[in-house]
Amino acid sequence: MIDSKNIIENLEKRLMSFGQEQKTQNVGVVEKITDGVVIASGLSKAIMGEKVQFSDGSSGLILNLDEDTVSIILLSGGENLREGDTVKTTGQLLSIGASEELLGRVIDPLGNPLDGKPKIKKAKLMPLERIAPGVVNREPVNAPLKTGIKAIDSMIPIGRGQRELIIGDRGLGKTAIVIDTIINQRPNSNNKKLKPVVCIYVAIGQKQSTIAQVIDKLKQENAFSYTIVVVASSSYPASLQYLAPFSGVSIAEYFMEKGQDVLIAYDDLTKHAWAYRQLSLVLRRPAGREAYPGDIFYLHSRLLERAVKLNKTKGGGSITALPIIETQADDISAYIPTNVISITDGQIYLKGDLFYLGVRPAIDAGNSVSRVGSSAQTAAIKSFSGKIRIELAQYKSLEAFAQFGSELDAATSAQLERGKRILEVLKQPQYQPLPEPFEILSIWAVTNGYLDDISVSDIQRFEKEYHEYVKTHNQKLLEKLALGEKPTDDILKELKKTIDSFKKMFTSK
Amino acid sequence: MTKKQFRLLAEASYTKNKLDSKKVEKIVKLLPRKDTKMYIKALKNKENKTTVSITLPRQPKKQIEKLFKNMYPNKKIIYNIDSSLIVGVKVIDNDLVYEENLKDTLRQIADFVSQNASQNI
Repeated sequence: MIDSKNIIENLEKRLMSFGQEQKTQNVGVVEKITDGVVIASGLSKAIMGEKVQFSDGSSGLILNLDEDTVSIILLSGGENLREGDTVKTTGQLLSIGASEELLGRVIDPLGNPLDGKPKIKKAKLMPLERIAPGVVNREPVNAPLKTGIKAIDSMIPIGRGQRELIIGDRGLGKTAIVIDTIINQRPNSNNKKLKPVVCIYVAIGQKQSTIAQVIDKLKQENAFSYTIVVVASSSYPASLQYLAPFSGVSIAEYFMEKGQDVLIAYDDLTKHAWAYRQLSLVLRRPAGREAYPGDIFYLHSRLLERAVKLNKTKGGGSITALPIIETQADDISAYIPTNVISITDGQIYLKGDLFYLGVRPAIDAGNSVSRVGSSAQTAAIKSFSGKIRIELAQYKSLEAFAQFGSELDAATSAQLERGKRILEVLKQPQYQPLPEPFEILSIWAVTNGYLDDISVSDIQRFEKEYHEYVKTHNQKLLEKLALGEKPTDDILKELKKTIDSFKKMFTSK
Repeated sequence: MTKKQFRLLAEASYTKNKLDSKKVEKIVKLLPRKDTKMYIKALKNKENKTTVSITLPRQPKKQIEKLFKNMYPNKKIIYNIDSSLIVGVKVIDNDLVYEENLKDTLRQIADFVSQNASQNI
């Protein structure tokens, strides 16, 4: 039992924290309503990005401050709004409530639940617009974020705190890469040395059915418990689509400040740019190239700058960003793609030609790059995957000669054969991310020529059965590889011994 | 005509901080119907800027009137009585509204208590 003295003391303490609300209100009048944008006069003390409340209960956000008027984007409601209605400032910048309760939830950009579950009660308010941490608070990317996709983890590795763009035409598997990466963050499939990752999937301007499929897949793969889905589908007003990625990153910052690692995927920033263009045109901001406003670069750079790896004194948390950009007819030199390419720390480029040839994921290794991820790769995968990129590049340059097969010298045709096998090994079914030891097994085998005598059509079967074989016959090898350390001679010998014994079995079938 | 011109026209309609009916009539005669609407709007805005509306629970004492006069020396003060405004005051100065009353303070305490209800005392 708490005694009465304690109760009174606690009450006194609580009373100290009870602050009197600001009583001054700045009131304005609605002058004009057009396409989700309200022009209001008055509001002389309003500030940029301030939340406002209309007399009909709907809310808005100030985006333009003019001499006599302010432009407000509507966040909710607004159907009953009329000219002459009053609007008042709230003194608050737009923010979203973030807490652990959000894990496994589907919310809109304002934090309202969309999954039919109760509203999140206890949450810390995180401002949507915030300056990214400065250089003093950061440290270089030094821990890997495994995607479970062989082609990415070996050639275009992603580090925690990195911003890696996924770019390509529609229907080439951009979202699939993100989903695989989220699935691969399941606590049991990670290296035990690495912290678990909180995943945030921000759907911008997508069809509700597509979003429902993504959520369903995440639930099926037991990946939803550590994932938050922020939805601003195509039926949402442009204002909410514009705010969605900022809501996502604000939630990510909440977890990062607690020292956790966060993965955030923006699917996709092309539609985000469209939404911002629409808003800017309605706000009568001067239009620039492709009618985008002049600050479209700043919009995406300030968003992606918030992806960061904090240093130990700041808790060591990180936000890894995977923005998606949809191109038209493989044109990566368009305005928004070039902008985002220059902002991010690398890009994964998906190519239609490869996709239709059956290379899935259709990653174009030549045009894909990771500028900081290689320093975050584990020593194990680094030492095994060093050769794969070179061999693939050599194969690509020799591929044109492949049609003259009979006239090629032995070394060239061997290189071509090796390339074909590498491409085959890099193929991977959707929703089946691989743990790092299995990735190493496949990559080591193909780059060291152990698959040269296996026919190309049998490679996938060989790989699958080889993984099963190692899982049942040499669990210890997998454990050693999972440590991520540089392979010792003993490990190499063991790898050789295992694949030799498996090959005997495989070829005798 | 631009908004700025209408604002200047509205300002010119005043003589010694008071709206001059002669000036207004002269201006209105010269303006087309559409512009007259804008001129009226500008006059309203100007009037709002020069007027302060004060709502009190009962008729103000002379001391209080003097206090407000000192606070807004160049503005016209209009007093309203609203008995529901218990122990409070509401001042509307153009687009700024200052409000303080017992009802709001009690509501604020109630909100604070309900928000922190789940916390252990």
